[in-house]
Amino acid sequence: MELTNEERETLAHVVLDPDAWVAHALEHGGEAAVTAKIERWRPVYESEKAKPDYKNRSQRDAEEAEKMKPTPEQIATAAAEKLIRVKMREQAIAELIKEGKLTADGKIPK
Amino acid sequence: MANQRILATEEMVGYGHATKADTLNRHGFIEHLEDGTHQKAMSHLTASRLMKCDASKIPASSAMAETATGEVTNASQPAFLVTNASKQENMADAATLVFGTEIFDQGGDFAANTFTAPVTGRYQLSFIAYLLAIDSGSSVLHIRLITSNRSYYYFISPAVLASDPGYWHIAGSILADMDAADTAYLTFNYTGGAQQVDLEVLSFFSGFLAC
Repeated sequence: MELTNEERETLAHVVLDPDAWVAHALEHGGEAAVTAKIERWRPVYESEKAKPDYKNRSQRDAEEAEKMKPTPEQIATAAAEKLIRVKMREQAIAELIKEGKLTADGKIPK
Repeated sequence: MANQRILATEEMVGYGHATKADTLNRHGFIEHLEDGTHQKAMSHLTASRLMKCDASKIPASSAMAETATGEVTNASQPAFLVTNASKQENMADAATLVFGTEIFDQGGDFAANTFTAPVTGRYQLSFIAYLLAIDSGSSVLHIRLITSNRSYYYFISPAVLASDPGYWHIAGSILADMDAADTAYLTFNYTGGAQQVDLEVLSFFSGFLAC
């Protein structure tokens, strides 16, 4: 099944990989499934594509993924906080062992 | 009015008959023979029940079934529940969750860790991801439910944890719009930390056509 550029772009508005989706759809639903999906999403694509900041599904997902990534500052802060928590944990264990509330290997005495 | 059925002698069947009061509101479907005489099919709408049917006219091969107490099942409605046959160890970022055991797959729409919608509709999709050895060095970790039309994210921030938790689970559920031949599957994703998280057995992925 050959798609026109417009049909491929309509699918790309909603699915990550139009060609992969079409190949899968032809196996499971036939050309009718492909045509139906294009027809369903064409009005949405038509109304969205004229927007200056238009992005298709793949671009939207990539943008979302980028937003999810922590900034270098957040990574540095998280690393510092983890060091502090580890240090506090080590100090707490050492004190509890000293007080006899934990054994030397960090377990509750029997 | 004692007799609440339309009888052939009442001349209410077919085209061109005059309308008669207090009978039309009580009837839904009437089956006709070729000569115009009607057959009993469905009749008698009352305040206490929607309709009374002639049992002989109900298709015997329908996938839908109703019990005597009103529960309705449909053996043709797409529905699946799958689980993982073994532990999926040290998952890489964006690894697809592997579900090798089908507990049920009504309609046969689940294969290769992916559900394929057989018809356009709204599908209730749910999962439980039972995770081991989450690295508290990871700043962000999430399970992503990827459908053809959109992605759904279920996050945690392990970096707030004092140490690596032995067990953790992420569960999610969504009513997703899917077109015929659309797919749905799950991935594991993380940023930072070591590649050490396992998907333990007793993880599940399920779904059904809701409407």
